[in-house]
Amino acid sequence: MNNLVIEATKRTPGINFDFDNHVLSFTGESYPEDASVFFGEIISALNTYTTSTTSTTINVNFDLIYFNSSSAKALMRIFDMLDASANNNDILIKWFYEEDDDNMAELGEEFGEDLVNAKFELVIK
Amino acid sequence: MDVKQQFELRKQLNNDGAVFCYNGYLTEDLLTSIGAVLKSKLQADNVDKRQIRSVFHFFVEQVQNIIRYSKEFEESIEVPSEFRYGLVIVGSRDGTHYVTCANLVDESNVEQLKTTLDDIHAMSDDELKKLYKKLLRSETPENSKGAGVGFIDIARKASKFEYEFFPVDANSSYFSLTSYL
Repeated sequence: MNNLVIEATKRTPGINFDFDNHVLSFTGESYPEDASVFFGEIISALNTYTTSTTSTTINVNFDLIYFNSSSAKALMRIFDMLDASANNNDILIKWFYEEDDDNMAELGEEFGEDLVNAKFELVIK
Repeated sequence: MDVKQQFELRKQLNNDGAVFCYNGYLTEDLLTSIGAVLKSKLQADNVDKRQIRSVFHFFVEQVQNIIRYSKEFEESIEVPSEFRYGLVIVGSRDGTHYVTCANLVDESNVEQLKTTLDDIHAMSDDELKKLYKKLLRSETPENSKGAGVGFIDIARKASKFEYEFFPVDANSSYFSLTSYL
């Protein structure tokens, strides 16, 4: 399937889904006007990819500076999808945060602690 | 407002430690611009990076509440939902940063909003975390354009938050919420 690349804006994250190499990245800030609209396309592409891919190592990188509560909802959905897909794939999620950003580390931990199948790693930038 | 009244208003805001005050129509573009100014000002004041991030977070959540839910909007504008009226004050009192946001809400929503806030206010950290995760995984309520978790998020990160309602007329109440770092 086609790779999905969305440039970051001031309040929407950069998306780089390199499906050919199985590397999916989220970068930047996320507080869009309507998180469900912004993430709709991303979640749909991710759903197609994760449900049609098997026995593959998939690397997912979250390198976010800030996200609001409605983006958190989309992120939770994405984490749940990745975890479901980890039944058939080897999924490694990396959550990047700045050393002094305890809050971003905690947010990552809270998403990570619910994962059953996917591997999760907190990484200091 | 004559010049004396203007100066009195300014003095009152200064006495309240206001770094920034805006009363009027708000949009997402304004939110981004004001947010950038706010971050720069707090940096210039040598406020700790973590504190700046938290103040910015309260600011975004609360201003987006106005943009999504304020009862007052300009009907002639094509997308009135993104153009709503409210008050925003960001400041520092007794060394504690605060964000106040206020707007009119429909009287028919007051009871439910108050109950929601009362419930959140009474919850322990563990209860807030559980509810937060539950709501992140639930369907978004029909009348909510956000995730419906903004208040819980504020409650989890603020040292305290206060809110008040007072009736303006038969159909509207003034709703004000302040979160403290």
